[in-house]
Amino acid sequence: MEAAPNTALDAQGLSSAEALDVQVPFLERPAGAWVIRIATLLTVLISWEIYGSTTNPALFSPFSKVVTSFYELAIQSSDLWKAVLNSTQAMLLGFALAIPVGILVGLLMGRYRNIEYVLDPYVSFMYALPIVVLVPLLIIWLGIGSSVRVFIVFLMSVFPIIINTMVGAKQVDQDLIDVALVNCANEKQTLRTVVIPSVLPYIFTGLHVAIGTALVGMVLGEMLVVLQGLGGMIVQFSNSYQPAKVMVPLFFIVAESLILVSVMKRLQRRLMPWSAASNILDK
Amino acid sequence: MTTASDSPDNTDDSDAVGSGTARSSRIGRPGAALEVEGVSKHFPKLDFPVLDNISFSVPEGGFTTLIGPSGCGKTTLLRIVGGLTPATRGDIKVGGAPSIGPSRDKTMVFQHFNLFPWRTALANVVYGLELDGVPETERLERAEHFIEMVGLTGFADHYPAELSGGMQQRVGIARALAVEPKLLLMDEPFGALDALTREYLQTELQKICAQANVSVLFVTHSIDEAIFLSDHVIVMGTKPGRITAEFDVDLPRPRWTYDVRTEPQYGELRSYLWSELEKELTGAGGKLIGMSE
Amino acid sequence: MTLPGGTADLVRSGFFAEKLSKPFLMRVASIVVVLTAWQIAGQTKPTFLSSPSAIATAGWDLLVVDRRLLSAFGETLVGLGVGYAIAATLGIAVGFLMGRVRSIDIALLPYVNAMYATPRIALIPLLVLWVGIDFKLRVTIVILSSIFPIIITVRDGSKSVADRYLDLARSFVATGWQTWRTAILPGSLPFMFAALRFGAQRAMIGVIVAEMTSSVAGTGRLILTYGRFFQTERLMVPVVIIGVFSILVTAFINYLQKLATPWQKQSRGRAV
Repeated sequence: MEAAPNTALDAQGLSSAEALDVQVPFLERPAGAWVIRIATLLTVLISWEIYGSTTNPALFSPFSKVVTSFYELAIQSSDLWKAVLNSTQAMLLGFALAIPVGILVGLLMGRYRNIEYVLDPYVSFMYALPIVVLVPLLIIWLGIGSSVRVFIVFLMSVFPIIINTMVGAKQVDQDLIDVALVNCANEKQTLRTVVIPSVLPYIFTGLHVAIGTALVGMVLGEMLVVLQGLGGMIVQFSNSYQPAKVMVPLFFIVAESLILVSVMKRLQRRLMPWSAASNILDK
Repeated sequence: MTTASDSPDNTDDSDAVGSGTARSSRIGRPGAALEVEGVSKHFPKLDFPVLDNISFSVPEGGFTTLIGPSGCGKTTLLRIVGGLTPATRGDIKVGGAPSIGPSRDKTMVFQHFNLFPWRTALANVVYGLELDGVPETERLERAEHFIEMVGLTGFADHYPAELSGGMQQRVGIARALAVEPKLLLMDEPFGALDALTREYLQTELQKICAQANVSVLFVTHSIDEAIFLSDHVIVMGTKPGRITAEFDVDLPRPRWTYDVRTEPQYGELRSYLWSELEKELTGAGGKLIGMSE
Repeated sequence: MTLPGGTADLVRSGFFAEKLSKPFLMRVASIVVVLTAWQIAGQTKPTFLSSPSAIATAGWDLLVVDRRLLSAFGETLVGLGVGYAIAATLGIAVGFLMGRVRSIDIALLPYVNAMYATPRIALIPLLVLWVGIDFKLRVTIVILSSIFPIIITVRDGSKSVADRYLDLARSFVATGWQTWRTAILPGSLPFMFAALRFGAQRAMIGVIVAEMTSSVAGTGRLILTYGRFFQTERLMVPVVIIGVFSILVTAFINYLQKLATPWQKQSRGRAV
């Protein structure tokens, strides 16, 4: 709701609230928020630096050392980028496999009661189970090669996708299905024109969760089994008592997580253009 | 300006108001858009029929309204005619041909619009044509024609979330008309709209029906709406759902060029309709649904 | 044929008909089929697949005869319990603070989000360096695993304790404490339970991960050991137990929620 433009105020660079001498609370001004953020960041970094300089360097490094390690690993050599590539490839592969499987099973379970009854015990169990306990079993099955990591990622991503898709498929608006029926749509057409678009938001919720768990799976597989990639780096550097270097792959893992989430959000906006639409007209 | 709804029945000799007799002479007339014969519907859990031996017909180009208290089965009846629910007994003919299940001859407009939120207005209107396999350019043309007809030119690319309630329902009407059915079924289409939009759309609907060549079966709660829109009104009772009264509405058409409510006949029709409904609300049926004198 | 005591009444009232409904029967049938197939297939590849009978025997061994698993599970539970209790109290408190006090929210949010996005397991090597590999490590990891989801859920929920409830309290001139007791607290219960549920799941993952990597004590260590020695049938026992335990914990929290918020309609799905 924009106030009517008041050129006199604008000329003086005042908002109407300020012109009226109404106190805009400090914290609600963007400047206020940033002051706090910067203040906390500085506090954190400074205490990090101080504490790090006074303790055992084998156990904890000051912030400055982390920065130099970053430089060493990321810019001076390509070790880090190789690790990123290695890790990301495996994770994306497992995730990419989980998507079609998860969506298909979720849709089937959501639309066909019988399939739900048959598969439900296993899906619920696997969803409740911390997948990490299966890792030794997976080692027995698949050895310690690269496929274990991909399979762990797959297992950790597929169940959130299945469950969220299934919930969405169960909640398709019956009224919209009536529209399809009235228009003489057959089963396949109803699925394509009504069910799938209705379920899409739920699928994305599942994907959001799954991308997080996929990342965890990737790190899990790397630290416990294959000892490659970013997780492998973490193990390597901590075993050799170089805590500063450990922070670098750690930082990249977090960064990757945030990037993936934002990519997913963008994808969501492209595939569901209607979800951004809002009521721009009054009744 | 004459309309397609100038049906021969308007020249019937028996007085429409107050006659209240079921017009059995109408059943089986050649050229009727809709014939409902002896339709009954039982639900297993209820010990009385939701619909009990319903028979009536809608002439070609006619506008018939079903009106009655909640629970009288009028929506169920509409869904049966539309093919969404099977009747337990009885026959239905649309355009002279037997009608079981959904078909292209009849389409529906819903109270809560039921537009696909992921499709633009145009994509919604095009839906039936798309399912039919009509080639793209042709179906876009036809859809745009109907969008114009309902007065939404320029809004074709908007999503339902960007449209007001009245506009959304107009999309719903356009969608139903786009496949050019013989019979248009409308389930309290203006029930979810505010009073002003509702009145506006009642007029719009008449204009649209004049242009498009459809017969309409309309369900409503509103007495004024029923009289304003229809050629023929069927009053239904509850428990069991049955026809309790029927009459014609002879008010001259087109009805948007003058204030219908100033016609003396309007007042008579209204009182009559209200008294018929009141019987249902306060009588035996009424006691069962919790209303008393 | 006479049925014992109250069974006849139960049959008459349709109790069994309800319990033996189609969904239930189909689920049971599905499990039976899979277990049978597993049993048959397991005969040919005992190391790879094991079989339900072998697992049952191993389970008997470990739980009743040997008690090894019981004590390991006990260790797990202690670590889990202590960590979760600390995380829940701290997490709820911080979550509320962040939700209602803007300055704290602005200050802490980036760090909470970053910690939430970090896989805890990646922190374990550092934590081992800092805290050692004994009980403290397990508790620390459980806390780190569960506190951030709890904080975030409580924060989001407390921000949205419908303002209309607060308006309502204010229109009745409720005092601060009264508002808290009658509007804010009941309104917050649903998301507090959601936070507890979420945190419990994460805590369980955390404790197992901690045990598997530090391999000093607990169920996780047992699983690793059995895996190392290819004792598949023994390995499956703690897996099943952990899975069942996880389901029970979630069910218990749901039950508590139903008790505390009888007015809430339980959601049909298990989203997220």
